[in-house]
This record gives sequence, C-alpha cells and structure tokens, in this order.
Amino acid sequence: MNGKKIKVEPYFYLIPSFLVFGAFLFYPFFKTIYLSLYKTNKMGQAKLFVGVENYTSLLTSKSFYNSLIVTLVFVAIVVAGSMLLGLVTAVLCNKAFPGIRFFSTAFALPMAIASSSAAMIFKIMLHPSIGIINKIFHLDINWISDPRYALICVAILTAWLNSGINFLYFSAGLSNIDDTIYERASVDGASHIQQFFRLTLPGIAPIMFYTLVVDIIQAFQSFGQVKILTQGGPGESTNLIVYSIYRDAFFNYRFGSAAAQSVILFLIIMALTLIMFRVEKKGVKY
Amino acid sequence: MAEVVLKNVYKTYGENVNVVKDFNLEVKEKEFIVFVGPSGCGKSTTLRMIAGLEEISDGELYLQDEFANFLEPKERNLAFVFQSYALYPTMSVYENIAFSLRVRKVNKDEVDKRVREVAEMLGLTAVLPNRPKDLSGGQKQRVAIGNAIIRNPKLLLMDEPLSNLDAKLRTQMRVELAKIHEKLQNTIIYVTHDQIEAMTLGTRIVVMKDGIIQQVDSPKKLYQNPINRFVASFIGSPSMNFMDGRIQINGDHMYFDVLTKSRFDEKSKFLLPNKVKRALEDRFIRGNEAILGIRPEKFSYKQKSENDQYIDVWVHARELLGSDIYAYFEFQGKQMIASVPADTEVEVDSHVRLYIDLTDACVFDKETEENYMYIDSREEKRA
Ligand SMILES: Nc1ncnc2c1ncn2[C@@H]1O[C@H](COP(=O)(O)OP(=O)(O)O)[C@@H](O)[C@H]1O
Ligand SMILES: [Mg+2]
Repeated sequence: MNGKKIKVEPYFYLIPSFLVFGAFLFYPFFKTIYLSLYKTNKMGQAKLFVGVENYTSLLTSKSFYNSLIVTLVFVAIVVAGSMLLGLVTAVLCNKAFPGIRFFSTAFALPMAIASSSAAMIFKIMLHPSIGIINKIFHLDINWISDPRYALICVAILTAWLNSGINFLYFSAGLSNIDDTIYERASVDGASHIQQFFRLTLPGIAPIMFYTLVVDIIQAFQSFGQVKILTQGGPGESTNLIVYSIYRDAFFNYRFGSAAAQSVILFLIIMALTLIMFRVEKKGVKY
Repeated sequence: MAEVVLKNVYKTYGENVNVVKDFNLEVKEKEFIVFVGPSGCGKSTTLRMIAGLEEISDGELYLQDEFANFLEPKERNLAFVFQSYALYPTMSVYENIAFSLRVRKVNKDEVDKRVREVAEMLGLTAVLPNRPKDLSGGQKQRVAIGNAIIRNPKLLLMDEPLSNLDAKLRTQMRVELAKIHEKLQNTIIYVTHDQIEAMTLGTRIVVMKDGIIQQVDSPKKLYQNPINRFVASFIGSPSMNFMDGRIQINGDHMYFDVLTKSRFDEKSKFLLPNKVKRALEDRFIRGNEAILGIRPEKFSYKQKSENDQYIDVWVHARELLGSDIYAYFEFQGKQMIASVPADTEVEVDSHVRLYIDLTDACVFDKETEENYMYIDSREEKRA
C-alpha cells in the first residue's frame, strides 16, 4: 500500500447498485431526453430528429396548459389534504388512550393500500345509484362523471392514500418533542392552543418540511387512481400530466411528445424542490 | 398567611403503591423550604402535586389559603424549574425567558424591559439571541431560572435544579440562588438529594424517606437533634458513625458496651455522659440493645477533657480536605471516619488512640431506630 496504486476493489462493490440504477434510472432518463427530440414510430423508436419541435408544439397546445393547471390544482389539494390529515391524526394519537393501537394502525393503513385497489373501492362508494356516499348524505350526484367533482374526488382519495405515511412521519416528529416542555408551558400559563402553535408546530417544522417536499413530488406522480377512476375525464378535467403522458405514449403513440412532457414535468418538480430548499435555509431553523 | 398547606396528602399509583404517604406541611411566606431524601423517595412527586402536574390521590392542598386540589397548573400562579431545564428548543433565549409573559399578552415594551432586567441579573445579556442548544449547562440553568422569576411569582418550585452542573458551578449557583431568594423575597420549595445543598440553602428542611416525612426542622436543629438514625446518617458529611452495643448500668454509672467481634479486642466500653444518662434513664430499652451514633468531628487525636472516652484503632487511609483531614479506620468490623483539624499528624497504616467526646452523641433504638436523645421542640414550647 504505497498510496499511488489506484485501488480497484471498492469499485467492485459499487457495481451492483450502478447496474440497477443504470438500468432503471439513468438509462430511461437519458433515453427520455433523447426521445423528446425525435418523432417516433408506433414501437416508440426514434425516427426523425425534430429538435425542440415537440416542446414548442406542447407550449402552444391548449390541452397541455389544461393538464398543467389541473395538475397544480390537484397537487395543491392533495398536499394540503394529506398533510392536514396526517398532522391531525398524529396529534390525536400522541396521547396515550385506550384503543390507541387500533387507531394508530387505522391511520397508518393507507400506506399499505395499493392506489388501484383503493380507487376500485372509491369507485363503488361514489357510484351514483348504489354508492354509500350518496346514500348517507341523501344526494344524487354523479361524482366521477361530473367535471365539477371528478378532480376533487380523485384528489381526496389521493390525499387519504398519502396521509398514512405522513401520519407516521408526524408521529415520529411529535414523539421527539420533550414532554417536559409541555409541563413547563402549562405552568407558564400557556393554553393548549398556544402550546400547539408555539411548541408543537415549530417542533415538527423540520419534519413537516421534509414531508412537504416528498408529498409534492409524490402528488405530481399520481397515476393509478386516475387511470381507474376517471381515465382523465370527464372531458379533460382530470387529465394530470402523468396521465396525459401515458395517454400520448400508449394510445396516441406520440412517444416524442410524451417524452417532452416528462422532461417538462421533471423540470417543474426539480425547480419546486430547489425553491423549497432555498426557502427552508432561510426559514425553518432548529 | 400560609403560602402552601398540605394536609394528609397521598400519591398512589395503581392499586396501592403509595409513593407519598400522609404528607403534612405548612409553608409560610418567604420561606426557603428544601425537600431532601434519597432518590425515589417521592420528592419530585410531591412538588409536582403542588404544581398541579400530578393528580393528588388523597388529601388536601391549599395555596394562599385557597383549596387548590383541582386548579389547573396555570391557575396556581407559581413557577417551576425543571431538573432537565425544559427549555423550548425552537426559541431563542430571549423568547424562552419571555414566554410566560408572551402567553399572557403583556405588551412588548414591558416584556422587553423585564427580559433585559432578568438577563442582566443572571448574566445572560450576551446570549439572548442564541438557541438553547448553543448554551453551556450553567447558562441553560440560568435561562430556566430566568423564565421562572420573570413573572415574579410568589411561589417558586425547583426540582433538583443544580444536579446537572459540575461541582464548581453548583457551588456558585447555590450562592446565586440564595441571593435571588434574598432579593425577590418569594417563597421557594426546592427539591434535592444533596444534603449539602439542603443545609446551605434551606431555612427549613423536610427530610423524606420512602414517601414519608421523617423530620421538618432548621438545618442546625436537624444536625444537632435528628429524630432517628436515617436523618442522623443522611444529614451531615461525612456521615455519622454507628456502633451496635448494649446499655449497661453499673451503680451510678451508665455504659455503652460495644458489640465485639473478637473477644480480645480493643477497649470497647464507654462511660456515657450525664446528659445521655438522663435521657435514657426512664426509657424502656428492649434487651438494653441500642446503637450509638458519633459524628466524625467528635473524634480527636488529643484528649480534650477528662470525660473523653478513647479507642485504639488502625488508620488505613486519609483524605485531606482543606481545613480538615478525614481519617478512615475500622472499628469492630465497621468502617468509620474521623474528621480532625488539618494540622493533625495523621499517618496512614498506623495505630492511633482516638478520643471521643460523647456529650452530643446520639443513642438509637435497635428496632425502631428512633433517637432517644431527640427533643421535640414543639413539646418543649408547650411545656
Ligand atoms: N407513573 C408512575 N407509576 C408508578 N410509580 C411511579 C410513577 N412515577 C413515579 N413512580 C415512583 O414514585 C417514586 C417516587 O418518585 P419521585 O417522586 O420521582 O422520587 P424522587 O424525586 O424523590 O427521586 C419512585 O419510586 C418511582 O418509581
Ligand atoms: Mg426527582
């Protein structure tokens, strides 16, 4: 070992993970960028180099802008809903009470449910004539065929699905807060509401930030529930970008355009993440 | 007016695990009360019941003559300093100190003025913008105290506030606490397992064991007049020395015959002074068995009076502590300590004749361990 020899051994250990990453991450990533510059045939093979034409036609397409807006609304509802649901359930389960195990399991359960099976169950619950929702509230609404409600329904389902993992994160965050500071606060004269806003929220702010980032990324990528519940409809009212990509590629065989949308989606998510980390550096401190 | 009154207070966990038993105490205004006892004896539990952080299982609590069992902590108008400091990690030192005023919506200028006053008093001005995690142990301690005294509460409760500090800082903070009490003139109830802290800070000390009050008295009285063997050994450092033996009466004289391990041992029979004799004379002592208690400073290398008793012992270790030397020796199979002035020639591994002044010695019952010499000052007053 004279230090000059380049050691090869460590690189051997890296090979398996690089193989996996390469096959499932790097290769598709660069292939997507490559495809987004071409027109393709039905098999998805690049045939004609068109430069940025796929992008320019997207940016002038009304349908694409609709997808963008629908996606943003969807992400906003999902993130707000799942964070709120996760936080409320975690705060409720932070105190010991009889039956806490049952409730904790129930609140964390959405994590373990596949989005497509949850969507199937929702579809039945939201059925206009036999669905339980209409029965309970004595309504007659065609939830998923009405453009006014379809997006909200999918978003709420997704929020619930994502709330399970948030419940887990927030519970971990809450249990990290030293109980004696609440005792001190109650002697100091703080009400429960003051304690929540002055101690609890700042205490889990770092984990909330992390959850926010993950939730946003996850919400952008929702697919299964749209596919099963609404197929992007009615009209294009639930045509999220990810679903639009799927449709362009596998129904319209426009792989080039689909790839270009993927790249744009990637850029949006990356930009949002970078902005959030920039803001976090200034704001959330511990 | 009594600041705090506890009447027959119990704390019970589960079916019948009594952590605090029949606790009776009346705390007057401006007193510095110290609860002292070995860890696990229920000091914190009692303090937390006074603060309202723990439910009172049985008995009554009065704060400023008002029945307080069911008051919320914030309605009790007191402050609490926690052992772990319990600083709010997300807030600056400034906000930590200001917190109790903030939640009461005191106006900003007033808050600022008071925070700066308190910070000045505790030497925290420079660290006001810092977070608790950037502070040293001593500074955290001061922040906790600052938060507690900023409202100038009439009653201040402290649960082992100095136990996380190193020895030097502890001594320093002890002096400062005494000063703060002097300055603010509020009532303090202070919990510690350290009898030195108790002796130096308290105007009255409550000695506890297994959830039961043993004795409530001033530091001096506790030292001179312990009610039983536990108090005698707990109060005072180094601890009191104990010898098992028998009381013997021979004509006009009363002797304490130390239980010997081997028959040909050192001299082991002491003539008891008149004071002790009088206290024991009309007591029934089962089998005449008793325990003799001698404070380490009652041993001496020189004979001071002709009434002094003596023992010949083998000194096997010594410790020099500034003005005193502790000489460690074994007597009748028991480790004992003599505390003698530092100018004494104490040689290790040598035979020594130690003189004993028995005038203030204690004699304890073998079974109940109560002190026959104890004088109940309440009875004294009544008589
Ligand atoms: N929740 C509880 N359940 C059962 N026993 C408890 C509980 N909390 C405290 N104890 C017991 O109460 C006793 C007194 O505790 P504590 O007041 O903290 O003692 P100290 O402060 O004197 O060290 C301890 O023996 C402890 O084990
Ligand atoms: Mg304690």
